[in-house]
Amino acid sequence: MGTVAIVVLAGLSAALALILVRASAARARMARSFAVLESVAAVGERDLAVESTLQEITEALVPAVADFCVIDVIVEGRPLRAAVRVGPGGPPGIEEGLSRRTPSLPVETVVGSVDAPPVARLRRDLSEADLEKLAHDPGDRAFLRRIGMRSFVILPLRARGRTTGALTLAVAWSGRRYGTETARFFRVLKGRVSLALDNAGLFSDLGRAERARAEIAETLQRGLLPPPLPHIPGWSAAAMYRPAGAENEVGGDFYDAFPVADGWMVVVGDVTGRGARAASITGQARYTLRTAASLTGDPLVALATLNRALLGRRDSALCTVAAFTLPEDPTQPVRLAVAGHPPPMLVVGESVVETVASGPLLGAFEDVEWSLQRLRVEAGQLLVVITDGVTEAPGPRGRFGEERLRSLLATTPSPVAVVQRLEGAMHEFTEGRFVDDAAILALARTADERGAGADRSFGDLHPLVA
Amino acid sequence: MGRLKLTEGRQGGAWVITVAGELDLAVADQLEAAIDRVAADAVVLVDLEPCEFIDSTAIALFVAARRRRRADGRQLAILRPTDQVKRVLELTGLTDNGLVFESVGDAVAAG
Repeated sequence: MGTVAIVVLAGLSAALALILVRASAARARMARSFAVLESVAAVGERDLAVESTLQEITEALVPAVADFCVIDVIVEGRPLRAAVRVGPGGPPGIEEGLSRRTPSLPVETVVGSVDAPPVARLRRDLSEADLEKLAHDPGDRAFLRRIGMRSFVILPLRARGRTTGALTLAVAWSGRRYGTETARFFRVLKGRVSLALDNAGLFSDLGRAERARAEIAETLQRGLLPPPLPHIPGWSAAAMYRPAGAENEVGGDFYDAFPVADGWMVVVGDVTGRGARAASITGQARYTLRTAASLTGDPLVALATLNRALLGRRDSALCTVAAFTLPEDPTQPVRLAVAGHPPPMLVVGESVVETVASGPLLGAFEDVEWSLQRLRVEAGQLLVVITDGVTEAPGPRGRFGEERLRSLLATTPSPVAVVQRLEGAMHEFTEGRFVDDAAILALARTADERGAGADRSFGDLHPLVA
Repeated sequence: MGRLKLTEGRQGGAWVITVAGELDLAVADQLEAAIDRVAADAVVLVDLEPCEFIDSTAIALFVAARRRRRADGRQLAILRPTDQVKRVLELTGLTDNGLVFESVGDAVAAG
């Protein structure tokens, strides 16, 4: 009986001792955590250069709260490994391996999006299946296995309202684990590290790099914007080009006018897609059309040449084009060919008619043909070409539509009036919210035979970028 | 504007994806994903009967998906476009190049 009591008492005191040990361990952990947060904050206040800041932060974290840590910074949408620190006791080669390694999680996962803001990710017990998921390939899996990672946490770093990078902390050979009790510590840590790096100017450096890039892009884009239209004897003209986004001035819509044998060629086109890729196709389309047409003066050759060029690209690149020649000799007809594009319209007083049936768009089909339409445009008549961004412009009351377009074009007196009227109507209809590129080009034959004293509104009007 | 709604099912030897609403830049990737999910099916048809509007993004999607599927010996076609949609398909030459049919039977027979 007495023996039992002693055993029980001994058991109880052992349990109590364990609780006390745990409590003091927890206190010690908390004190360590505070010390880490304090030293990270201190780094931020010392006005160090980026390099030293990264070094001191990682020193404060490893080995105090992690066996190794990695800081990735997002540059131009891609993660860049800014710092790696590996604590003592780990297997050899980890630091080099981590420095070279591509992050496991795609950058979007860390950066987040409008729908999914960035969240810290914590994994308490890393399993073999997790490694399988994190590994890029068998070699990488072997590397991850060799590290022997038990837990890790990825903390998104934010500065000035956007996610600028990520801090990854992991424990392996020390035998530690990150549990949910560490969540608060990590939340505070994330803010301190972000602030320290921002103070060091890391993110403003990135901002400068991005501004420099934007400047280069802008310069390149200027070369792709429609050029001022030339003066075409015997014709007056006006044009509008309005890209959807201010930050992306080159859209998929384009127009061009250039001399060919016996006259001028005018093209209006629309490349499918947006952004840099669309801009590169736009450039290719414009120069291909120009080259092919300058050599032959034939709209059909221009279309066929661009079709072959687009089919030859490895990516799927589609383009619609309306191409026509304006003859130098006013007794000759205008020649038009259309590939997948809204057909040019002839405006004669109140009548608005499509001039030519469209053939297939470019870049989609091999062995296709387009037809050539000859059209006499008399003095005072208008030839108007738009891109689908005009008719498809959405507003609170549906789409802009062809009916509205036709009724606006009827009885329009001049190319300038066409552009002004359409632009005003589109602005009103969409309430100023443009979602797609739009282009309008209007031409009128002037009364005089060979263009002497022709309206020079071509050059004056362009570009009307809203 | 009518939101995009996709319904899918097997009909007469083809996998038919029916598109209701408006098919434009904002939602085209949903249809693209639906087409890619049934990449192994021999015949995939996109039924546009309840579709009110398509733009050039949709055209690009059809052309690219058809090209990918034909490279694998599989078919992709469009069914029953309504007037606005039919006009866009005609304008871009998709109607004349064997992409548009009026019934599942016609499309399957053509493939």
